[in-house]
Amino acid sequence: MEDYKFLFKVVLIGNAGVGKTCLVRRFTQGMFPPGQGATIGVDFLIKTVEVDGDKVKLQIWDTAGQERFRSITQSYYRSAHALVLVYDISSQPTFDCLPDWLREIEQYASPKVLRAVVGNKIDRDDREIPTHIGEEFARRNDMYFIETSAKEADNVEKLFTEIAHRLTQEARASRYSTSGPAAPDLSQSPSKSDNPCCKMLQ
Amino acid sequence: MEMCEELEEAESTLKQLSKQEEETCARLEELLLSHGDIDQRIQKIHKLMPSFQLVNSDTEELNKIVTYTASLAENISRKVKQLDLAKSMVAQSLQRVDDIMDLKACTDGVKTALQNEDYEQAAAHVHRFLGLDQRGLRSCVDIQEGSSLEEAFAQLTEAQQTLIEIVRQRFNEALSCADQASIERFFKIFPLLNQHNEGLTKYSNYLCRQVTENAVQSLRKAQGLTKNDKRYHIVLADVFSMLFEDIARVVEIHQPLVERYYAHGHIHQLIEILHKECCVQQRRIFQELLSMRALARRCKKAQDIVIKGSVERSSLRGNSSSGNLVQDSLSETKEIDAILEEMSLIHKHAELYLRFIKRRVNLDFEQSNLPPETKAAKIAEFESRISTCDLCKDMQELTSYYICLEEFFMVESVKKAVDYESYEEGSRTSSLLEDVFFLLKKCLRRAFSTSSIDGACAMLNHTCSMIEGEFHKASNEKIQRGFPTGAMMDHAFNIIQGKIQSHAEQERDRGVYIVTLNNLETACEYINTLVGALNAECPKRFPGGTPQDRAKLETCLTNLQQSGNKLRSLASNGIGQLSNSAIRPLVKVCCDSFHTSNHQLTEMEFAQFEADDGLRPYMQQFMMNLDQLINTFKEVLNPKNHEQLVALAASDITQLLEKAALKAVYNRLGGMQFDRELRFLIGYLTKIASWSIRDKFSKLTQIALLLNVESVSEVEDICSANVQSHLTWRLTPVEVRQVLSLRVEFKSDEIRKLKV
Ligand SMILES: Nc1nc2c(ncn2[C@@H]2O[C@H](COP(=O)(O)OP(=O)(O)O)[C@@H](O)[C@H]2O)c(=O)[nH]1
Ligand SMILES: [Mg+2]
Repeated sequence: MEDYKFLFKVVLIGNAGVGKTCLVRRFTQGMFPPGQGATIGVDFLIKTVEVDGDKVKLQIWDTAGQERFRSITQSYYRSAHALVLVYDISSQPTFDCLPDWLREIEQYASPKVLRAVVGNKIDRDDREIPTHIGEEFARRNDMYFIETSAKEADNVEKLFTEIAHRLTQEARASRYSTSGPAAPDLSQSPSKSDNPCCKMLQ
Repeated sequence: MEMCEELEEAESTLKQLSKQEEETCARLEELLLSHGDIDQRIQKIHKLMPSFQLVNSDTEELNKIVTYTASLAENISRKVKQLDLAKSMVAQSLQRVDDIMDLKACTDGVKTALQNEDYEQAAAHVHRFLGLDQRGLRSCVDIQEGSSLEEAFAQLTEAQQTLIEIVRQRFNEALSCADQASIERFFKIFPLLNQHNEGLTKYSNYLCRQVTENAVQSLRKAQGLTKNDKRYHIVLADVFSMLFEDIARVVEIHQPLVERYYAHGHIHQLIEILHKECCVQQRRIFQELLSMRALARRCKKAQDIVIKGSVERSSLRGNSSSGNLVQDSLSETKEIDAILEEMSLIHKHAELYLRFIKRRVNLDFEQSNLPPETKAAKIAEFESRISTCDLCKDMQELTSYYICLEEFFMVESVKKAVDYESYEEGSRTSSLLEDVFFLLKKCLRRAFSTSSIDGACAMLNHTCSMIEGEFHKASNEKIQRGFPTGAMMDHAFNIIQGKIQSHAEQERDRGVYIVTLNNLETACEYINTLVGALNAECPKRFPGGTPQDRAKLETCLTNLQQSGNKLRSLASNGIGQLSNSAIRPLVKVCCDSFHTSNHQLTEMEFAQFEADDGLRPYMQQFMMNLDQLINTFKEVLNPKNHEQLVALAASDITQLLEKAALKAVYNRLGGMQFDRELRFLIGYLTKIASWSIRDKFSKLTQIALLLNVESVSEVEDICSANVQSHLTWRLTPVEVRQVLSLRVEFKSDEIRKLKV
């Protein structure tokens, strides 16, 4: 069993093509994936970082943006500790969709969830959303804001480190820290096997 | 003088000379003697002279022979080389002759074969011709012959074109009138003419027509079905299944034919064309599914209810909706249940079909002669084309609807289970537990049976939310109402015996409280069992999963398992409350009596208690009450819950009794009495608890020990004995002195002087 002090679930959402998968790959594998297909359903990656000497494990869920994957994606909101809402700074429509995504968050996620807005692809020179517009949106909705480039590895590390940092501080403050969830004990079978429900399950 | 000297000289000289003369004579004689010998030798040499001349000439001869042999050998080897060359040229020539003869045979044969409409034969000739080394042939014939060769080539090329034209035409004819025998006949000829692509494409398109026809027909039949029909509820799953099976059958039948006449590495063409048709046909069925089952409308409604429900649920409960509405939603959930079955079947069939075609194409490429890199590239290309096909997209959309409705079904059914919770006679748990877990198991099993990993994960997530949400909330509400006490001892938990109506509200609440604790504890067990069973199912349900898929699924399963933790901590809280409200008052009464009791006993008093197990009356009463209470709880609580309750009771007793004990004053007999009672209590608790309880009581036991000593000096012995026996001494020196000061006989300066 790996030892870590905290485990956090981070879910990335936003329109298809804004660069969610690239951000996650850049952070977890240190590379910019060349021409991979669009994400199907949900992808799952893990990275452990250190916050003030404590090991913090990030469970990162990279979701598909298309409508037909929405009900899969939504099922991950409720248990998320952080929701990262990504748009593409060179695409007005991806920014215009942010309120819709926010509404989803409010409907499905826990009210305590840490929320971040990320403007990706700042390496591009055809910017459509000025930084202050994104900043303003984040401020209005009380969200953490940062601009990144998965391609140039700009601010990607900072984004996830900041999330890990904030979540850890929150966890320490409210002490809902379960120091590393217990390993599932699958070998344990129920003692009473005459129970009807147990019988059905066996 | 001088003369004399000369004489002497002359004499010696003479002597010398005569000596010399003698020697010379001897030598001369010697020489004369050897003269004969020399003569002889000279004669011998003279005799040998001719032989020497012979040797010389022989040697010269030998030299000549060796040189000659060498040149001969060289000559031979050169000849052998020439011979080899000649031989291979002969072989080549023979091949050319063969080829030319073949060419001739082909040229002649193709004509006759075409005349006789023996297209197989003609194609075989053309195939032979196509296999010839045309450049090689051209290079080895002289110009005159060359012209006839070119003529043959031209003829055969023309024959090939003619043949292609004929075969194409006849094949088309055969296809259009579905003349199976001719279709197969000409299908086999295409690869002989190097027209693999055309043959396969046309043939596949022809096979598609049958698939299309069948699909259209079966959909039409399905649309004609009435609600009363037995298969109405899963009729579209049937239609999907028939389409997939139809294609699988076509592949099954025609793959051997393609492999035999077109070789490995070609089946993907057939399969891709069939699959394209499959996508077209399944989309029609999918559209029918959407409208026939009103999926979009139902999902929208379901989402509204689920979202609203999570917000307004608590305020809505109690002032329940009219009976009509309840009936409505009941039949609606039933309908949705049926639709979910159908959807899960459809997805499962589609997944099976996709795996089938992928496996067939992969195997076929693997068996082909293509270089490994090309194989891998072709397989990857095929799979990526498939993964973005309409069937996959539609199945993703189907999964989306499925999850939405399955969540709705689960949430609604759980709500009903909460509203209609009932308590059965002789059961420690309520219907809620069984109903909820029956449902969870049903929904998750169904989700797993779709073969969609994302679908299964999503439902695992929703189940988690449900357990930590609705189920936790329903249980928490009851725990929060508390465990009412008062008049409890007389009618302990008759509710469990099924006398709900005939008893007071309070008792009902007590029963509900106990059952809720049991529900929570059993729920944790059920969750473990459920997760274990689902884990075991994974390999069977998702055989094609990547390591990443498996990690995803495992994580979601682990999360579900951990949802039990929240229930467990609620149960612990509840048991704490139970102990506080039911057991603590008893302990308090006992400790109050202890406090007000006299602990300076006379011999007579001490002897008198001996008769009653060594207990004073209030202690006796306490033990009786405690035993009765614990036994009552043992009957109604789960073993684990009961164990926890006993542990809590034991903690309460030590805590309160310790306080009381330190407030009283004792004489020796009073100390002994306390020690006696404590031993009895520990003995009792040890008997009913399945784990060692002594540890909890060690401090109290040590207090009793000190209260029991004859003199202060004895304490030092006790302390050192304890150090030797490695017992953990729980009392600090201050506490030791404090306890000793409770003994009326001990002087304070004696206690102060004590070394501990
Ligand atoms: N220039 C630039 N392109 C990016 C960046 N991040 C992603 N992309 C490109 O955007 C496209 C979509 O990226 P992807 O990660 O699949 O988006 P997703 O659908 O949100 O997961 C890909 O072609 C990426 O190469 C970035 O930081 N800069
Ligand atoms: Mg993606």
